[in-house]
Amino acid sequence: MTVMQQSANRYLDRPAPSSLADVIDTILDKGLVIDIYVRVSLVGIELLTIDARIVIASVDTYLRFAQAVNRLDLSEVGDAKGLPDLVQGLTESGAKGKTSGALEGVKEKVGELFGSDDDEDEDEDEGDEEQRQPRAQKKTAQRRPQKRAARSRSQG
Amino acid sequence: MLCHVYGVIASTARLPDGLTGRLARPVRRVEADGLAVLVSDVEEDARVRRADLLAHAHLLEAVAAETTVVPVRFGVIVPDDDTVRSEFLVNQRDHLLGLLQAFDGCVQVTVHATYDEEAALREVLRRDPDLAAFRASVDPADQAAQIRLGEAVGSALATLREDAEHTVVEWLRPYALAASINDVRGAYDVASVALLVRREDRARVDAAVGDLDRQVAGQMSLRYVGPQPPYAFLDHVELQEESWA
Repeated sequence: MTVMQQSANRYLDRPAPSSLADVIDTILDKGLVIDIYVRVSLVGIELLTIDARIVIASVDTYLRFAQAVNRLDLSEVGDAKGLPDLVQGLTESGAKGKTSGALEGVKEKVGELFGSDDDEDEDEDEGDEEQRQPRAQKKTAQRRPQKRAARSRSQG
Repeated sequence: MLCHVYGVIASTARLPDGLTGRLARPVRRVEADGLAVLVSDVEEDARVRRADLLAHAHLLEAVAAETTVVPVRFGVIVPDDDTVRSEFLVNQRDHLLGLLQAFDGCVQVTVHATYDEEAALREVLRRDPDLAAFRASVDPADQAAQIRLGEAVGSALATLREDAEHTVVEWLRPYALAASINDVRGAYDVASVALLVRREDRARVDAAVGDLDRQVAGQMSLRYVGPQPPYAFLDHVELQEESWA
């Protein structure tokens, strides 16, 4: 019973330290680099947890999706709150006026420093595994292989 | 002894005593002219293990909790303190000062959202009656039909993912100075959003993430990581040399 109460109260209230899954997006991909002093070979590092379920368009993936959807007991469909309800909830109750004027001031300051497009650093990650994960190579090779040039620096 | 380099802070910044890095070794400061590079000793032939990656990340997070830090990518190993000074504190001085100023008072946090598999599948069927009918009618032994079903489900999941990512990002964006969206990897991963937030806004950001977590409970699970150095935003700073003079 105690366990159930804990799980009911497990909502996030503060951030936690990063896990191994996070290093791909952070210390292995971002940060200052001085090329001639990069000495670490990452080939031997097991990052298997990270590619556990790469999204790949393949027959295998389709069959997994089919199996998963066939397993559902649809008699229960309709109970869950759907995403549209969620979005509605957001517009009704979420994020209204919680940002302060002070925040706006800094937004201007920082806005000058950043490019206008927040999303332009998306060109990362999902092909990374092919270099460390030989068994995933075949499947990931089709995905934007050209962007791995920058990565190779940290492999040496 | 070589130096493993973690990051750069202002030399005026104060850090807690006893910070350690790779191999649980003490992290020390190599300072010059207003900047301090955080390093620890490492052997020439030191192997890299998972614990080394986590030690690097966690040291930077401990520092980020206290002060602005420019992270150095894992694996930069410099021969000695003098080379640290010349490479970072002389050659990169203007760049580093610019970054430290740009991110002064800011910290990154990252929110990862993953759809619960069953909830996601139920949702795509709920949204698309044709897909639900297809599922109900398809012959489990007909491999080709199963592949078509799976392909349709995958396509529907991709759409659901985009919508859910939008929901997550739009929920969080008002609390951040900037947001950066990482690609996601898993079939049911929805979003990975790095937020640049002011330190004094962190409690509000925490509350917003907690609210979102409650909103999506049963559908998605969130992971909330931080505080971190501003990894995702380093490349977005357009340094204007004149203005830093």
